[in-house]
Amino acid sequence: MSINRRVFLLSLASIPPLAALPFTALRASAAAGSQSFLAVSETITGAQNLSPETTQRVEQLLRERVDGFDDRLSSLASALSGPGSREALLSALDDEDLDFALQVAKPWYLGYVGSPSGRVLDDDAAFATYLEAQAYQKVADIIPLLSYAPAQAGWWKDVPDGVDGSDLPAGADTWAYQPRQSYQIAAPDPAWRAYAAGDYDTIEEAKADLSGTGKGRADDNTEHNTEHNTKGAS
Amino acid sequence: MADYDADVIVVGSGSLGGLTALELVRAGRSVIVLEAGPETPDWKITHNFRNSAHKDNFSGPFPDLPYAPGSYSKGYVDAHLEGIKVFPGTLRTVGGTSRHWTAATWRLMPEDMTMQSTYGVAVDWPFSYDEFEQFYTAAEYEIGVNGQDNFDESGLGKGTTYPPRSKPFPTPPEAKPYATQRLQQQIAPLGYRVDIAPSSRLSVPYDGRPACVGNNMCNWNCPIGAKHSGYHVARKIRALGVDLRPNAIVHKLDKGEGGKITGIRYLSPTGEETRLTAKVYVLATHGFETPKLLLMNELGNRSGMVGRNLMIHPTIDMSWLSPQPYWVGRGQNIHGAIMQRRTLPDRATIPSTRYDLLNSPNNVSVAQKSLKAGKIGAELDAAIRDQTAHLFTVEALTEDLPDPANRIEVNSAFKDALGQPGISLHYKISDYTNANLPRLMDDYANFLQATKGTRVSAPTTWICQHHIMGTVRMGSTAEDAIVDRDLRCFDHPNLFLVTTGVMPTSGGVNPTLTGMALALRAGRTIAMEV
Repeated sequence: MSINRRVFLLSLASIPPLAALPFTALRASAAAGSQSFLAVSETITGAQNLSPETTQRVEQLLRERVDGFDDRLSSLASALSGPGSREALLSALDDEDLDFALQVAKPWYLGYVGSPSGRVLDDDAAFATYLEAQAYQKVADIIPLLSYAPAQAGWWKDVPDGVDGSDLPAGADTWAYQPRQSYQIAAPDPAWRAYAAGDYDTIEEAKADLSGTGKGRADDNTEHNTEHNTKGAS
Repeated sequence: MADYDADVIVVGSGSLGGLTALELVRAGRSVIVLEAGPETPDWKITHNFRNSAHKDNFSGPFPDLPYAPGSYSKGYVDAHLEGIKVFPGTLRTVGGTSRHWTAATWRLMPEDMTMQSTYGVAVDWPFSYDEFEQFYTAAEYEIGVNGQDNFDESGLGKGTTYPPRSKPFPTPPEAKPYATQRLQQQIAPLGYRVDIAPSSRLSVPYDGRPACVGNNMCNWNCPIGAKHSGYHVARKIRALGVDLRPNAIVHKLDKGEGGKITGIRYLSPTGEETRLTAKVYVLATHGFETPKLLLMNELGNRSGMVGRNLMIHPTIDMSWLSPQPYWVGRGQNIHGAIMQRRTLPDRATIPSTRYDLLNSPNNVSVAQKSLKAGKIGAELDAAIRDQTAHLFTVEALTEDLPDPANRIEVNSAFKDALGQPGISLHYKISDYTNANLPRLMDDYANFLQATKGTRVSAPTTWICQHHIMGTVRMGSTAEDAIVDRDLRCFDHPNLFLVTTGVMPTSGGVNPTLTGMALALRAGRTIAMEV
C-alpha cells in the first residue's frame, strides 16, 4: 500500500499555518531569525517549506556553537544569492563557505546539533527538528517517520513503490514460504572472503588477484556441519 | 495479615517483577510493588522520542533522574571493559527495562540448559526444559507472542517443532516485510534459511492491546502498546489491587534469625525512609540492581558469586549495499532470523549464534556519513535515498559463557542524589567469543556474494545486547550459586530473586521470555507458601 496519504497528512501536521502564506510572507515572518539564514537553509536543503519556528531554532543552535556565525552566514548567503541552480551554487562554494554550509546542513538533515551518545547520556547534543529533518523527508514517500505509522497492520509486506518485485514467487510474503527444500551453507568463495575481510577494496580486485582459486559455489563446497534438511513449505 | 504490610513485597515493577506480582494477586495474595523510578506513560515516551537529540539511544526518551540513575546515567557505571566499548542499558521506571526491549521472545532450547552435560562447558540448569516448558507457554499466552507453527528454532532442519511446545503460538505470524522477502531470495542459493523471529509485537489485537501498525520504534517504546512491556503488567496488577509505589528507592533489607528477611526500607526522592514488612520478599530489580542490593546489604553471598558471571550476549553487526533495493525500515525493528549457527556440534569452542535481520531505517546514519564525507545538495539527497534503499544490516547475537571475572561490584566512589552508590562493571570479550570471528566473516562473505553486495561494515567490532544474565545465578548448591531452582536465596528462606540475572547460562537468544517464565513460576511457588 502506498504511504502517500500518510505523507500528505504528515506534511499538514508539520507545517504551521504561517507556511501556507506566500513565500515572501513566510520569509518575513521569521522575525527572530534572519532572512538570510532561511534563504541559505532553503538552498542547502532544497526544501521550500521550512517552518519559521524551526528555522529560528536551528539558527539559534548554530549561533551558540559556531564561532563567527554572523560573518560566516553573511559570506555564505552572499555566495548563494547569485543566479544559478541549487547545485551550481553549492558546487561553486569555496572551502570556508562549504564547511559552514555543511554545519548548517547537519541539524536540518539529522535533526540535532552536537554529537549524541547512543550509550551513556553525557554529550553536547541538542534537538533541532524531527518533522522537518531532511534525512527523513527525502525518503518519506517510502519510509514513514518513526512513530507515524502510515496504515493498518501489515502494510509493510507490500512491495515498496517504484520497486520491481515481480520475480518474487507466490507466497514469498508469508513466513511459511521457503525457497528451498533443504539448506547447506556454502563455504565462502576465496575472493569474496578476502573482499569481505577488507583485504581488497573491490571484489573485482580480489577476483583478479585470486584468479584460479575462486570457486565458492554452494553446491560443490560445503561445510561439514551444516547439513540441513528442512521441510519445504508453500 | 495484620503482622505484615503485605503477604509479599516485590521490588521492581518491570516485566518480571510484575508477572510475579500478577501470579500472586491472582492467587489472592496481598502484594506491594516498590519501583525506584517514576511512572511515565507511553504517550510521554513517544513525545520525548520525537523531541530527542538522542534517537539512537534507547534510554534517551526515559527520565534520567538523580535519585534513580540507570546504567546510562552519567557516572553511574564505572566500566572496565576489554575488547568491547559498550555495556547494557537499564531503566528505572514503572515497567522497567522491558519498556525499551524489541520484544523478541525466544525460548531456550533443552541443550541451552544443559551446556555442561551436552557440550562440556559452563553449567547445567537445576531443572530441565521439559519441566519448564509449561511456564514458557504461560508467558507466551500472557503477553501475546506471535510465531510460525511447525517452527524448528534450532536451525538444524529437524523437520519438526523444536524446542517442543505444549500449545501453539497464541497469535498468528507477523507480516513479513518486502526487505526480508528480497533477502530471503538472495541468500537461499548459498544455503541460508530465513525464518520468523517470534515476538510479542502483536500481529492481531490481544488482551486489550492493538495489533502493530508499523511505527518502527519498538526499541524505544511502542507508541500504541502493540509491543508488550512491563507497563502493561503494571497496569494489570494495579487493577487487581496491587499497591504499586513509584519513586520508592529500596536501599536496605533487614535480616533476622535463620537469615530471614524481616523488613525492607525505601527512600523517597527527597530522602524520607519508609520500612515495610512481608512474609516473603522478591527482588526483581534486573541483573545490575539485584546483585548491587545484595552486596550493599551483605546478603546471599556464601558462594562469593553475587555480581559475578555477568553475561551480555556479545553482538556484531555486518552491513552491505545490494544493487537490489530493500527499503529496510518498513514495519518493525526486526523481521526475521537465521538460526543455522545456533546449535552446531562445535559449540564447546564456538558460541551459538543467531542472525537477526534488522529493520530500522538507515536514512539518518547514511546522512551522517554522507555529510561527514562532504556531500551536500543533490548529491547528499541522492546518497540518502539510494543507500537507504539498498543497505541491509544483519546482527549476530552470540552466546556468552559464565566467567566469574566478568562482574559488577558496588562502587562507593559514586554517590547518587540520595547518597547511594554506583556500580563498577568488569567485562572482557573472551577467547570463546573471538573464536567466532572467522565463521562470522565467512557468513559475511557469503552474504556479500549472494547479494552482489558492496562492503559497508564487516563483522570486526563487538557490541552487546541490553541483556544481563548470570549475576545472581541459580544452581543446585549454595557453594556455587545464589538461588535454588525455585529462585529462593540459599541463605535467606523468604527472599526470592526474579531476574534474568539468575540464568546460569545465556544461550544464543534474548533472555526476556525465559525471565518471564521464571517470574510466573516463582509467583506460583511463592503463592503456595504465603
